[in-house]
Amino acid sequence: MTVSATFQAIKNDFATIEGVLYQGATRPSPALVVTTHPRSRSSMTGFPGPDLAARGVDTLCFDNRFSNSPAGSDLDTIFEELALDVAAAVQHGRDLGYRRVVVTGHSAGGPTMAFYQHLATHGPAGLRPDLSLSGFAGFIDAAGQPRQLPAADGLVLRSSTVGTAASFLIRLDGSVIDEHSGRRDPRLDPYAPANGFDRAQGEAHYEAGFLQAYYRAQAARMQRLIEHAQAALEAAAAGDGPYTDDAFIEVPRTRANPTTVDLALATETAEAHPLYPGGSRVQIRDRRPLNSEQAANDRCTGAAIHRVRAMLSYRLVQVDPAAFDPLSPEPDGTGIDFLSSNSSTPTSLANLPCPLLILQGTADESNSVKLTSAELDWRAAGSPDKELAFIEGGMHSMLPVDPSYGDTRSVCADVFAAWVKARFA
Amino acid sequence: MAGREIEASYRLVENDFGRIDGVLRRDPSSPSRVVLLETHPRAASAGNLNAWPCLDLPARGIDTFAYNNRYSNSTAGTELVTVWEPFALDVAAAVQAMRELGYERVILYGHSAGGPLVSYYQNLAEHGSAVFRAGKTLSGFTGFTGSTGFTGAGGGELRLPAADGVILQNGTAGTGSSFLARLDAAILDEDSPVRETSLDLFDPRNGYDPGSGSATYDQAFLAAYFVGQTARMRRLVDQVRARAAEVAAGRGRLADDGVVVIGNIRAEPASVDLALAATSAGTWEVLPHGRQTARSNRLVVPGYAGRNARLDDGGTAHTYRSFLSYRAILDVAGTYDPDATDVAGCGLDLASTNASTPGNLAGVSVPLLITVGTADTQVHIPYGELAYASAAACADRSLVFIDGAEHDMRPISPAFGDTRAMHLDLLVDWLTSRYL
Repeated sequence: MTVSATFQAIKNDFATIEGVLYQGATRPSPALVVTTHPRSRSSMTGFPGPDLAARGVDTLCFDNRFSNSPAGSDLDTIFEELALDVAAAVQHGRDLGYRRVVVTGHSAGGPTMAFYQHLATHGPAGLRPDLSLSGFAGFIDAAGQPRQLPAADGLVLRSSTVGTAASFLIRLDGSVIDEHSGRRDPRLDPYAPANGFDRAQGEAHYEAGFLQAYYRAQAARMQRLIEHAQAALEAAAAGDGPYTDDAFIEVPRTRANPTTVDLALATETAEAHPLYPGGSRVQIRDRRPLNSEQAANDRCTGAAIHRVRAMLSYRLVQVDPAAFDPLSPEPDGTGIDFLSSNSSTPTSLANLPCPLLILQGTADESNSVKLTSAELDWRAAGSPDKELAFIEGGMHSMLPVDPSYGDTRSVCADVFAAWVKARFA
Repeated sequence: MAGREIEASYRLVENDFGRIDGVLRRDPSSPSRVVLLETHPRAASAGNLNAWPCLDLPARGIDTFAYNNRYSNSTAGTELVTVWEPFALDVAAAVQAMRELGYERVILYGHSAGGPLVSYYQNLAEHGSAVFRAGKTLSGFTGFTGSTGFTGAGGGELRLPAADGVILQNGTAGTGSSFLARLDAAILDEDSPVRETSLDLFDPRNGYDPGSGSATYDQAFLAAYFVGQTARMRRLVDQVRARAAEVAAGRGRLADDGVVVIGNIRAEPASVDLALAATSAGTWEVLPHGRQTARSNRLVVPGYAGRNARLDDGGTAHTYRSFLSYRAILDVAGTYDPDATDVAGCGLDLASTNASTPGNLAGVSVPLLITVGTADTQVHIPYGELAYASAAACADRSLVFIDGAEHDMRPISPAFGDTRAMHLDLLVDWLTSRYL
């Protein structure tokens, strides 16, 4: 099917952004799908825009204010501000005449869109500035009134994280015990042969005792980062810092999630779910390959630097070191205080009434998404119409982990388009 | 011309040089053989792709391609990983794409920090890797060859396609020069917030008036201040090089690079003292009046002292590699003069950086147009004269001032009329007479 792509310079009450509208030959489209990613290079091209349009579902792929801030350069990304750009895109869709709009996000785009829909649905009443580290209380208009954002009609998460802060937590290197010097405890080094890592193979077999200590150390490091960030802001406010408004925080070694190198972890879902192609309901087995991202852990590309206010909004979340379990499929089983970050996907999904589809590949090699994270999001969701669909052999990008799985992106787009048509046609 | 339908098509460009995206604007009923290319080293994508004058030129017969580069959307203070030299590959990708579309004349347009970018690109395209002086600049960059992963045919030097003309609109003197010009000399220790009183731009004893936010500095203070700025830059360069050497020796906190945080970078005397950079040295075309001395009508930058103290505007962070390539520049022992109008007088070692506008314009031979608004608070009148003077190899060079125009060419007050329209007319005349 022919797909047209037209550039959209978007300027409305919410923001100035830009996008590309992919339209198929079939009119009218049952809904407009709207997508962006918090930091990737331009979101305007590539999957799934042309793929969905070819299946009769128009898609607007847009860039937001933080687009093209690849990991490590997302210095001033304030998570909540992304909602204004999503609002601009949704409003643009309505202004173009689309009656139905579905918001969708990939990876960190998942929490972005989930938060958007949560805020648009519930307004400031859905926020907990008393509990969140950012203290965000909602957008205010020129007259001092809460800004109402246009809610979408459906939400689709693709290879979604459980939050930009929670995903940061699960890949934090727990062996760093002093942020200033970078000093490390070798007993907690996930890339030390003594702890189960095989340097030649790039693969690990960790013992339960090591993992338990490691998770505690990750959580303790997160708590130290929070204290450090809050102290830096207090110092700035008191005039004791280098700046009067904010501060920088540098975090080395943030690529150390045990699951990327130990394939014996997170191997299956807790219960049965539809598996595509076919859609039969089975317990899902993980097919992920080893991830060599640990090579970046001791490099600048494996470090993060943020303004403290951005860090508090985007990368920090409270967690109980004694209870932290990154692989629990239950929100309450993780030990993470999801209410402390607005980027928490489970919190945003908990009270959403709109239809929800979660798409997840069974071969997700990323350092922040596993079968269990998709299941966790699905279990947390309050929507009466929620589906969790797995794509066999799909990696984080939804490309196939090996050619034997066929065109996994096409399978994913088929499921996505059919879901939209079933609800909005 | 009004009422003509301009088509704006979004294009993803992928070729041997790079992968970029941009918007091509043209009048489908009247194909042009000339295209003007615009990008900015760090502007927000939405601003970049919709940059003035790219929206207005197609109706006047000049097609435009506004495109993003690898560092687009790295707004000031977030250019953490911006390394200067690779920009050229993204410009090359755009030039190549336009040639392949059939455009016979490709013109590079650089606004603000885009000025040094297009100067650098054209110099590199005309002369090849020789411009990198065998890696003797602070970045150590030697060229797009096998060692950097970019190879030309046969594994040799990668030559980039040259453009047919270069336009600088309110172009800075370079990304290192512009950083130096606003570096706060009162900071003697990068790890301490303590300010050296005798070099404090915002201390009333030195001529600053906290009430109005303006200043009148005397020559002795300014002379000491400029020396202090270059001394701080040298300390930063030395510190970053020493730390980079530690990393290279395997003794860094990280294995490949590190991050330097620099505070208090909004402290340029001319931003608060309007007696500085007040007129041109020579007489030039000043629109709409004709040939005369250009006189500044800029205003004091409001809230400048507060901006300098805030991280939001007065702080930045760079990887070592980024800083040395993009923001570092060396002086010629104590002779720095930010308002010099010729290369010999500016007191800078232009061979220490690949991001100097005058340093690169010296190698540009294609037609060159330099425009500066006289009310610009960031790019001062002498910068235009310095750029013009440096382009000695260019047989067709012009410098034009627009009276009362700010950094974005909008008028500072309605009394100056439609300065953008004047500038647009100038562009159309300049382009039409040369290329159409």
